[in-house]
Amino acid sequence: MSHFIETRNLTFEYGGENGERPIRALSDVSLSIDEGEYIAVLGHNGSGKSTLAKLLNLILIPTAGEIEIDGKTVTPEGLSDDEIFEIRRKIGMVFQNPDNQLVATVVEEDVAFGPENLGLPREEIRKRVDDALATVGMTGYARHAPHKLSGGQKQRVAIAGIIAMMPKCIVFDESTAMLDPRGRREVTDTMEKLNRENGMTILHITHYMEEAARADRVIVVSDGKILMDGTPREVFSRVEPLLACGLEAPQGTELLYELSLSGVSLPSDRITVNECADALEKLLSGKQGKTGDV
Amino acid sequence: MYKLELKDVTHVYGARTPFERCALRSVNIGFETGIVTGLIGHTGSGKSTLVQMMNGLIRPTKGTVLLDGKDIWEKPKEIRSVRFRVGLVMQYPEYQLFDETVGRDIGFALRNKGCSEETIKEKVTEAAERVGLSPSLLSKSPFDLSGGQRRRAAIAGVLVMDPEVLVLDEPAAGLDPRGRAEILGYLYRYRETNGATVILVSHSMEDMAQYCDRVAVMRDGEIYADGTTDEIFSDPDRLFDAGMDVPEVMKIALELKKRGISLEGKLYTVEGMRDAVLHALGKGGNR
Amino acid sequence: MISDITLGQYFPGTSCVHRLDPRFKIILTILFMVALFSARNIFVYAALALFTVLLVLASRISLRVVLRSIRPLLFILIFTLILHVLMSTRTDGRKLIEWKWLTVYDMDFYRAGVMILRIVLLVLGTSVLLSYTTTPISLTDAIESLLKPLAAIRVPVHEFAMMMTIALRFIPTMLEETEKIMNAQKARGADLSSGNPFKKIRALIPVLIPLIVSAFQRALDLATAMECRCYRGSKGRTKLVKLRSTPADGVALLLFCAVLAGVYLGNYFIPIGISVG
Repeated sequence: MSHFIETRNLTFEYGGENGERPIRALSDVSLSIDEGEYIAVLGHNGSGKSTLAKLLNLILIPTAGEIEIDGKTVTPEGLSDDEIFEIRRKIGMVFQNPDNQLVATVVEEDVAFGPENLGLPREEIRKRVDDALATVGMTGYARHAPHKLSGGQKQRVAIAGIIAMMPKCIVFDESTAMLDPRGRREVTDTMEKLNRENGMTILHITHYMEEAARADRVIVVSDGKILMDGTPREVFSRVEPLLACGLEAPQGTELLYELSLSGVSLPSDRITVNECADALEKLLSGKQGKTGDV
Repeated sequence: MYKLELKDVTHVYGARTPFERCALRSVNIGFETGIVTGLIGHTGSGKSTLVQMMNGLIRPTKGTVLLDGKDIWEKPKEIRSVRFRVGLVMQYPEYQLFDETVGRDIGFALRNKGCSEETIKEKVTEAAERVGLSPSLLSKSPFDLSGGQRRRAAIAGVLVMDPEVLVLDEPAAGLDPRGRAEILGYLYRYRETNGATVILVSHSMEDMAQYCDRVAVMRDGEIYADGTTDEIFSDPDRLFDAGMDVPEVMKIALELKKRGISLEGKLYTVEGMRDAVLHALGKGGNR
Repeated sequence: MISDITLGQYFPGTSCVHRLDPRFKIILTILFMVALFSARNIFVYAALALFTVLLVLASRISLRVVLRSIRPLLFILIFTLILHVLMSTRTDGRKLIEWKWLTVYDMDFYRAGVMILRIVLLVLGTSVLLSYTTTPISLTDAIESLLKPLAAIRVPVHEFAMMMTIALRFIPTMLEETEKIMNAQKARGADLSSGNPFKKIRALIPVLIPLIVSAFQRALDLATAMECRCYRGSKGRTKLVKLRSTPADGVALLLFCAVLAGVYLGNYFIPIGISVG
């Protein structure tokens, strides 16, 4: 079965000049992504998660191994400019710094930047810009100057700029790291909407566990390798390995884990508030001799 | 007496222009020596303005700022001396690094103060240790360091002043969980070794719960709630009303309460909840 | 807040001047400047002054605001007046003052007055046409459009326009960042305000270096982001915004040409009593 994106033994190294040893950011990574998936890639700073994102849209070229994107294979030999152009039509990227990806002085002109580069006719560009702004909820700001927007709003404009190019997949490279909680919610809500309503393939690179929990699939990257790959429940219930690679588990899961370290028997796969409360209710009612309606 | 106190502080930006905006309204708040106070509030609640008043970067339109009981604006020309006593670490401080070497950059504040070269060298080494920066990095250019190392170098650049009051505006912004824990840990230890007054501005209720002795909640330019961490979290509804949240683990306690199970103790941290549950089990298990 | 200053002081509005095609406004400005510098007698100048006032009124921008743009010039104007009057070697007209080596004639004042008038009208005219009623971005679009024929001889018109757009976009952002960096360094005891000029410049190094470094980083990030959005120069590129001229632009052009013609005619036919310029 052919996947939308597939990496085979993907390795990336950099440095190695002036007699220094090269640094291996990714080692032998093999994974596959299908259209319509909503995936979170979790990892500590320096784990290689951003490197993976940059390889997928050809900002970087593999040192070894290969990537197959919608039938096109990328090897260490690289690709021609036209081939790169084609792949970037299909895979868009939203970056971490909200300011450093907005290029125009007026919001709607920035959203139009991508379609303009694709050489589309004016009416088509107009339509795409209006639709994209509506999707991210920024229609009212079409004629505003970008520097006056909040971080979350700027990121939504950036997302609109990518949507207007109608890609098949959007990669979010730590796009929420520099935002306040409201901005992070706005962006994550938009991601979820794009996936559920528009069938967009979403790849969310982050270190925030509560954002990763909203995805269908979580891939944990550590020291250039894939440590875990499964549903949020499968991944977050493994508290020890998460803590060991500098990440967090949901506080509730951690609580049950701490209690089991103290000798109390509790399930390990509870990740939401209600599930943890259920488990504790059962535990406490039982011990207190209550006839529980559990 | 408070170490640092703001009395009836009001601040208006752009008075008499079309951009007039009242950022702070009659704010009264005091910070005691050796206490870690957390300051939390939505963007636009006035946190940044308040914080810049503490070291005299902004002069309040009305009201006074007192350090050890004295008005810091008594002699406006000497306001710089206040900044050596109240150290402010701004958001994303790594953007302020500029000097040839990390060591020189950390020492910048002391050069401005007029300290001798030996004193500077000694203090710089000490400050670097406090934030876990290896001494070998001191001779490198700040632009050769990783993001996390630059953050720590920037914080060291403020700690080097040995400030009596340390104010930090989201020191862990943008860091991964391990980075957060490390930075906040170092700062906690600063309080311990120096007896300094620490003020921590953050968006994270979990950070407030974990690291602060007192919490002040800001809303629309006013202090909405102000008390010990226990007091603040004992009234979750008041927090919800202000559009604030409680730590995840506390929501479990609240859910259990709804189901008729009451727990006692510090229900707002993981360790606290664990102890509360064990305590509750202990009581039951003694039958 | 520093970043609230809009560059070039654009005042939003819907007057007929606002709605002119910016390309035409550039041409009109050139015609206006030529007319102004071609005028040779006082009656023609008076007519031009009247025309300028009408232009200001047509833009519907408050007179108070427009006059404020003259204020920074006041010093230069007075200086010009004094210099011209004192240094003039012409000896026409009636003697007004004779004191030791200093001789001042009434014609010197008239001539200085005319020079001042010319400067004032120049500033008013260009401000109204280009600054107050035209956004910097539409000016950039206009310049790009006017210079497009040069692209045929390999002049990088598109790249130049893109550079201008990006610069305009980032000026407020970088002003904000400057403020932040200054605050961060002041918080470490930097003294940015006192001392002699030499000292002040040295004190700015801790502000300039981070700013420059950050600017380079921005440029790098932005270039990557632009490439990821399939930017590859002007090859195959279309544009959302298209400058559209209307009959009103044609009328304005004719009007300004008429004014210019009027200036030449006025120079020729009016048997002036006072020759200036």
